[in-house]
Amino acid sequence: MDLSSLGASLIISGCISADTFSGALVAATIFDSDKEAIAASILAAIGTSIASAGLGVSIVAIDNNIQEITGYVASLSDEELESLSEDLVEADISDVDIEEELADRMDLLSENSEMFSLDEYRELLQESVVSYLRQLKYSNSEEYDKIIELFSDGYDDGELFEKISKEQVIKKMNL
Amino acid sequence: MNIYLKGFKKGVFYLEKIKYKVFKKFHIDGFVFKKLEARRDKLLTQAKNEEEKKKIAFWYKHNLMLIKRENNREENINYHLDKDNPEETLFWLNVNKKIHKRGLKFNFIKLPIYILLLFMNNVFGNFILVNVLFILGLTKEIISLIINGSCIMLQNYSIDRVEKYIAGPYQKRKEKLARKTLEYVPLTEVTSKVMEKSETLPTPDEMLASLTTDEQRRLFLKLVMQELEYRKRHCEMSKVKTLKKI
Repeated sequence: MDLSSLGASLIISGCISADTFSGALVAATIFDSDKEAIAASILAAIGTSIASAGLGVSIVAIDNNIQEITGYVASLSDEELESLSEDLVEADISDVDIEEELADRMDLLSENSEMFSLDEYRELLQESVVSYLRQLKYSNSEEYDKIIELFSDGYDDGELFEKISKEQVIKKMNL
Repeated sequence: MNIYLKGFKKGVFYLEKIKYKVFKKFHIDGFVFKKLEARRDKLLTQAKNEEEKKKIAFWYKHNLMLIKRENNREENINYHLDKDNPEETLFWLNVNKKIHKRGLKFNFIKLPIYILLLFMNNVFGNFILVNVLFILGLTKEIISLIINGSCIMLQNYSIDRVEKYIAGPYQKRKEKLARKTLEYVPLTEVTSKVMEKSETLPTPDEMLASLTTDEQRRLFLKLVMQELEYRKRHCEMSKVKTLKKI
């Protein structure tokens, strides 16, 4: 691109702030001898037009969650969809009431606590709580946040289970 | 739709096809996502309360989802009716129309300025290079004016069609949608929480980990298969259209 073309390109660019795409197409037509310049201007224009379409607007109301999940599925690439469908076919998810399950495990532990050493007890307790928390994170986020707030208190996982007793866990979790 | 608009629409669709190819080849979506993220961060710093922050987080995720959907399906939200959510199509059509109306306004301001400058240059100096530059600018403005005007006509035509769809067939479809919404409640109860909790769009693995019942798994699989089927059909239709042209 020579100096006059560059000047013209700059002037055109200055004029096309309101409609970048059409302006870039004109620039591309005019400077058709410079393929790199054409490609660059078209790419820049496309990028900007898409970005402006996605950025400068307010929020559209979503009536229900079905639109949200169908929108999410549509946002996945072909590869992600293929892989997800395979995972979903293979996934083995049993219908379990997680809160009931944890309460049962806690009862069993407290009834038989004398049968376990402190380490075994801690391990079993940790396993139950972690499994419960993992599922709770998605099924009941408010409860999850409450538990995390109650228990974490600046401790990491290891320290946490050193500090709390089974009674505290049962009491705090209202089980 | 008159012959001119039909031809213009074909041209727009042709450009769209090129756009998606370029997007995929040069991974431009990454650049768009970064811009969107930067805009979200800026808006978050300006947010006055938690309510506003929640709205911005939703806005970000929803736009991210729309841009990704558009690229994956290769369907511009301005020209493809979302039959389950025509209000949103209408919203985007109006956004697009507003952009072109603004462009048209600028065209009408810039056109007489170029003509005046061209006239003044010829009267007072007559520099050839300056003349060339002004003629280029003028040509660009005329082409831009035609494009903006045609786009507005096309948007008006589409807005009219969508409004007719909302008043007619959509009312019947709503019943079907209500049944579908009820059917998917076990799944959406879980997925909406994951979506809400996540700062950006959750990964498929995160979604999968959130499922706790076999019914949820079955419903999720159904949605995924429907989307795969839709894309397959869309791809086959494009091939048929291309073959017909040949």
